[in-house]
Amino acid sequence: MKEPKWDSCSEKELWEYVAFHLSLAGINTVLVGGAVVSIYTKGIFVSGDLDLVLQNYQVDENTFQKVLQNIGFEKYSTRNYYKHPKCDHIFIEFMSPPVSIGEDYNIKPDEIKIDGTVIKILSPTDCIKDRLASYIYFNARECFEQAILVAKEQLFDIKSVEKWCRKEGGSAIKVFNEFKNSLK
Amino acid sequence: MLEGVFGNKTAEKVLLHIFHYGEIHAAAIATDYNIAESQVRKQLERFEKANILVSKAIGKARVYFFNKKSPFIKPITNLLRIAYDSISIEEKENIFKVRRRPRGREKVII
Repeated sequence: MKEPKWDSCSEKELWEYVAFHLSLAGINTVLVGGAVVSIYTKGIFVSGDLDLVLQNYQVDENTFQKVLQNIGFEKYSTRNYYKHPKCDHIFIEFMSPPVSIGEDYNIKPDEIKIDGTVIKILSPTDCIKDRLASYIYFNARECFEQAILVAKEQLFDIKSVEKWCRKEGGSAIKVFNEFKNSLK
Repeated sequence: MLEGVFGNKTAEKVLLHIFHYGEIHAAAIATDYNIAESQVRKQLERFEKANILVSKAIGKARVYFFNKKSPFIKPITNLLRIAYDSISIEEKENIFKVRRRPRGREKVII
């Protein structure tokens, strides 16, 4: 796979490059968080970071660190933050499993094939739930706006979003109604 | 009580403090227990790395709270609730003696 243009690549290009190489080494990851919004809104929203959740329970930090080092990335914090020295505008964070949205951890990510290798990303429906979760639990209004952006750009399952909100309970039901009204 | 589950006594203290106050910074926990701030910070960072806690900067302080987006939070807070409820009221008054809820600027604490 071709290297991205490090100084100007999008979240999508960087994610595809990194996830492709990790997947080739047998390390499965799922892209979550703001970068998914960036991809589904074709750059209307810019995230600046890639949140990758590791799916393999037996993969330790040394294993994925080696793969990242081979493609030029460096760890720059005590946490799992990585950056390419030529790419100043996007960094990567690795998060421990499971992929979850609130109390739901049975998440089935969408799969995309790059040169015959599968890489994974939250589906538009789960991306919307994830953004609504940040609004519900962290009071992050901008994440609510991101959920609306994705909903307007992508096909998604509103019944599944409603079901998830009802299961989360509390203010999630009110947030769902607000979300539904914002789409009218 | 839960040091065996969470790894050590400081870890338990840190989580119980967040359970009680909702959100808190390292220096406050260290002061309340009269322990080194570095010890507290180490635990806070450990739990943040594990996605149990999240943090945000308020002024110069970094405030930590439970990551309610994590599916582990409900079971963890259930464990903490058992430990918290088994502490006597007298001891709770002593451990959590600093009031951190909103209070009028000049309102007297009696």
